[in-house]
Amino acid sequence: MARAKEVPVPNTPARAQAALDADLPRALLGRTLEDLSWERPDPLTLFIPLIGIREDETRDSYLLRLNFLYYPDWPPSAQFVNPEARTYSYPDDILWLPKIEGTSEIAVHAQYDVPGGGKTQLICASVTLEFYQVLHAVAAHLVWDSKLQNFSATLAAIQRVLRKPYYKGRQK
Amino acid sequence: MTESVEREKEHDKGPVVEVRYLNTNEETKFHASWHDTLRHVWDEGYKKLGETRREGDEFQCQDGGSLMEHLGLTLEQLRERHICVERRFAIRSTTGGA
Repeated sequence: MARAKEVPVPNTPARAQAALDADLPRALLGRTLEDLSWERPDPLTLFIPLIGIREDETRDSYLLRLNFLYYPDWPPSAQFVNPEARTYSYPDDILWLPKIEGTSEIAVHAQYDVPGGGKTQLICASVTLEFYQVLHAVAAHLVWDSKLQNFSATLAAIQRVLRKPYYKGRQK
Repeated sequence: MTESVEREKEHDKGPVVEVRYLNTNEETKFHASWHDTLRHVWDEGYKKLGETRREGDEFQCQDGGSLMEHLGLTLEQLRERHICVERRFAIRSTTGGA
């Protein structure tokens, strides 16, 4: 079970995959991965195309990578990636990050220090794994709860801020 | 059947509303009354979904627009004001972050 200020522990791959297999149909709502242009390159990874819509209706494409190794006790790892390389390399890939403003619920940091060493892209919200890996503070009632949430909550939170009034275009 | 007759029948039975719980993507559809307030539909949505309200939950249109300022309006008033006209609603929980 997730707790704030506690270092997340990975699940076993078999249990993590079983949890993703169980929750995926709820996210798909009767559609297939192909219908939604989602990809599952390995049992624990999803690539999900997302669209950011600016105030002037200009649309920007993004690719979100979700990894489920710590799932479901912890939320999925969530990072925006370069759609061609399918990885994220700072600072070259800042272009592939959305600029989000005007909400205290979520932020996208191109690079963020990980306690104990290292740096990571951080979609700073209590529905991503990285939020807990950087030991971010959070109110108890907002901590990830796998009995009440699945990865659709992660997706919904990110999609919400890719619309006005929060979405302000690309970071670079 | 003409569109106006269909609309008349829907008016008699009460509109179908859809409520999606964004924490899990579960959804429910049910008949409501034109006289039901949005607040009532929100409460019914929790019951139908078997979920309980979490601190900070918000009711919104599935297109993302918040309905929190309109909770006292009836579905009839919502239709007249052209707000969330498809009556496809969503419950979202706030996240900590930033």
